[in-house]
Amino acid sequence: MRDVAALVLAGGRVEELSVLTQLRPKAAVPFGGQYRIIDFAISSLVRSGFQRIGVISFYRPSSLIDHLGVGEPWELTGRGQGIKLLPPYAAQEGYSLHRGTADAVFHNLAYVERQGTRDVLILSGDHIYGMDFRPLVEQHRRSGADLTMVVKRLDDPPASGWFGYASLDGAGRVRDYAEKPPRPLSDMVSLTIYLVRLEVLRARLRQNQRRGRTFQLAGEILPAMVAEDRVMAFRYDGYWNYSRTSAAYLQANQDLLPARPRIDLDAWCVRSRQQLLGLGDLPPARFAAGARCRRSVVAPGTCIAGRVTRSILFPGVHVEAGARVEDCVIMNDCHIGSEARLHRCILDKQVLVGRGARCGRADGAPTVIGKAARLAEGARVEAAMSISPGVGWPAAASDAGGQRAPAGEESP
Amino acid sequence: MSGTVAMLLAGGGGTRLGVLVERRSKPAVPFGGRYRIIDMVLSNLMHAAIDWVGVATQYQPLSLMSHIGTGRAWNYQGRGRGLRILPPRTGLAASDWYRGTADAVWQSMDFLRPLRPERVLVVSGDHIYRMNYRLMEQFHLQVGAEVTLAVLEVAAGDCSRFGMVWIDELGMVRHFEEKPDRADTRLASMGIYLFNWECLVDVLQRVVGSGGGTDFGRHVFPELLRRRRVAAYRFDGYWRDVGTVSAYYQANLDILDTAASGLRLDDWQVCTNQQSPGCADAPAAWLGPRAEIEQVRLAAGCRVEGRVSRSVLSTGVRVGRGAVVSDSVLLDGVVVQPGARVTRAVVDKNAVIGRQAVVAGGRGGEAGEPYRRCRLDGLVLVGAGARLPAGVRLEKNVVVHADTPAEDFPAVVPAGSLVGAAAPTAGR
Repeated sequence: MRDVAALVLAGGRVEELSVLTQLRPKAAVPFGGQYRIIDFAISSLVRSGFQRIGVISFYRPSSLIDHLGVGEPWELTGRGQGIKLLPPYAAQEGYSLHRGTADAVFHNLAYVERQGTRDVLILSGDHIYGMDFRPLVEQHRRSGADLTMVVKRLDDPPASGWFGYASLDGAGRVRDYAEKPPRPLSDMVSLTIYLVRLEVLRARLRQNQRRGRTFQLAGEILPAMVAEDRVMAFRYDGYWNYSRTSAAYLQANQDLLPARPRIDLDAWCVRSRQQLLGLGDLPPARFAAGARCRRSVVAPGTCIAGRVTRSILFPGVHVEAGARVEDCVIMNDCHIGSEARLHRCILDKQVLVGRGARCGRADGAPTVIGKAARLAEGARVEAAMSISPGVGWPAAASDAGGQRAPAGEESP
Repeated sequence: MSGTVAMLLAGGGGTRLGVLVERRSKPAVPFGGRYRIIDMVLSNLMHAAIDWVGVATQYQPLSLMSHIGTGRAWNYQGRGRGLRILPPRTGLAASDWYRGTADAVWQSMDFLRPLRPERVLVVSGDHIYRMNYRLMEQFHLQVGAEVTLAVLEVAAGDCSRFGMVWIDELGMVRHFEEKPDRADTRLASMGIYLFNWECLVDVLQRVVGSGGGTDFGRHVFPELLRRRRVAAYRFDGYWRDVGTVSAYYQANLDILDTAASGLRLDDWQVCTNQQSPGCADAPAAWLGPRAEIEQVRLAAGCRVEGRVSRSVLSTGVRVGRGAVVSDSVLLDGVVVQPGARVTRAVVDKNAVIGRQAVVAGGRGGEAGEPYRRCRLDGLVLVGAGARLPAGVRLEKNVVVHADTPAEDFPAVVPAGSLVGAAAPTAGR
């Protein structure tokens, strides 16, 4: 992959993930017991033979910077290799945060051009999938495309608003593209993975700088290229989770649980950083007498005395005797007090759940608790609620940390 | 601990660990589901902020050396800090192997001297414990000792396993005897010695340098007690020698109930090499729909579909459907196939227990020669990479050599017998 540069867009916040993305971009949201979502994109690139990866990030990037480091978990160290975080920067022409994804790529063209490559692979760092990009590159070259976009057929495309839709002709050329149209154009959605000839991209980005309004790749560059350049589609049929909502995020985590999991960490060569905070030093998970744990994923450093079912437990989680955890994602160092009941909850790191607290509902939309929030003894948190990072619940009168999730939370 | 340099003696073969040390030294034997025995002492040294550590290796050192690496996992990297592996080396006088604990330190003077230490802490890589060496050093300075030994109280019947120490009312050592049959003291040396530099150089010159002996316990201490101020520093925490298979097994099970045993693994902040193959990328453990798991330690990468109780499962162990594992220690990558039953066994890395096989460890009795001294006490010991065929039955006190193929097993392996052949050891 020496003649393809890789750019991972990891800046986005994604409003719908509520308090999980208050302190980090979506790409840095923890996943599956010890990963962060961006591991899937990075691991896919590494597995496909990419040795240099640029990561564009601007929303609270500190956890991402720590996580990526110099790329040693993905063996991106050594001559001619590396992972590079590309932050927004000031220049003589002025300073601005990226106005959109097209703007972000435009401001990093110099990095891409230094790689001396023919094509650029632009992908999002906040989706969960495992993909080998080599067939994509091969098809792109063979078809003589200016841009090849990865599409997937959705059996049950959501009614509105979430995706970009492509309609294809018989030869796989994209004839029409619409970003988040009111009604789906087709059943082919864009996975926001684009392989594009640098030369054409450069011209389109320059044009966009002059005439653009939203400066978005999907909203402005792609439609323009579909109209005037040769844009081809590459069909991907494997697993892919957008994790755009808390329900989709919970589902993606639970996709690790079947005996033949839909997320195949092994085949996808998913790697992550464990050295941070000494995670690799943690003792094995401890199951006390009376513990009951099934259909779950349990990281090291946890201690389980209660009952855990269909859940994902990150390092350092404690589940006390008599507590019940069902269909939950519990991030690092949370403490679940005795006799507490948690159903369909997503707990960010360091949440304290008091004895006997009740949280979420077996059939409801997920309940999302922000980092280091504290639920008092016997507290009640309804389904679909979210609680802000660091607050106590029930909130004191002055401390309005809890809120109903925005409408739309229950869509896919 | 500025001014104090450590010498870690990690050369021991630990022959009473049987096939566990067939291809590695005792300090490199895996422990606690995630660690190796030597991680305990390396972590103690790191937490005491000792800047320089020399590691004397000798017996089957490769596994140990790759585990220690540059010492980075214990923060031995950077200016003014470091860890050096010190294999036996030949000098002008064609000196060869380390002939004993004191000889290893004596031969490592070329490492120690340029560091210009004020004190040298001699520790062994064989023991499971968490100790704050700073407190020992404070004590050493307070009482104005020239040498301080760490000691702990042992059961009256255990004196023949330890170097026994007699102290006076001020805590100074009056007498030392290596593994006596009988002793009217309960204080045993833990193999942790803090020497003033001048005293160390002098006594090693007198004893080892003049051919008077090579061992701290047998030769150096008698000489020291004649001339020097030797103090005993009492330690009363958890400490185990894990010198035999049953002691090793019991210490592993001690991490199940840490409050009762005192082996508080969750609080000890043990550090280990995180880059070891298979460990760095192992996903979190996975438990299937029929898993039953109680009183267990489960490391990353494990997949459990059967029933596991009172056991320690290291990285990447698989327990198939309908399999039952109880009271056992399974090291990295062991596979227990569906329907197999494993009771009271220590199973080394990557061994495979075939379908419906029964490993029926029990209590009491001994292994056959040459493993009688391993004190199996009814345990079954399976070497690394051995493949137990489907349906085989192993009775108690059976020892299986590493890499024994399935066809070498009879249908029933009687109690106390040996399966397979010891691997040929190159060059020795």
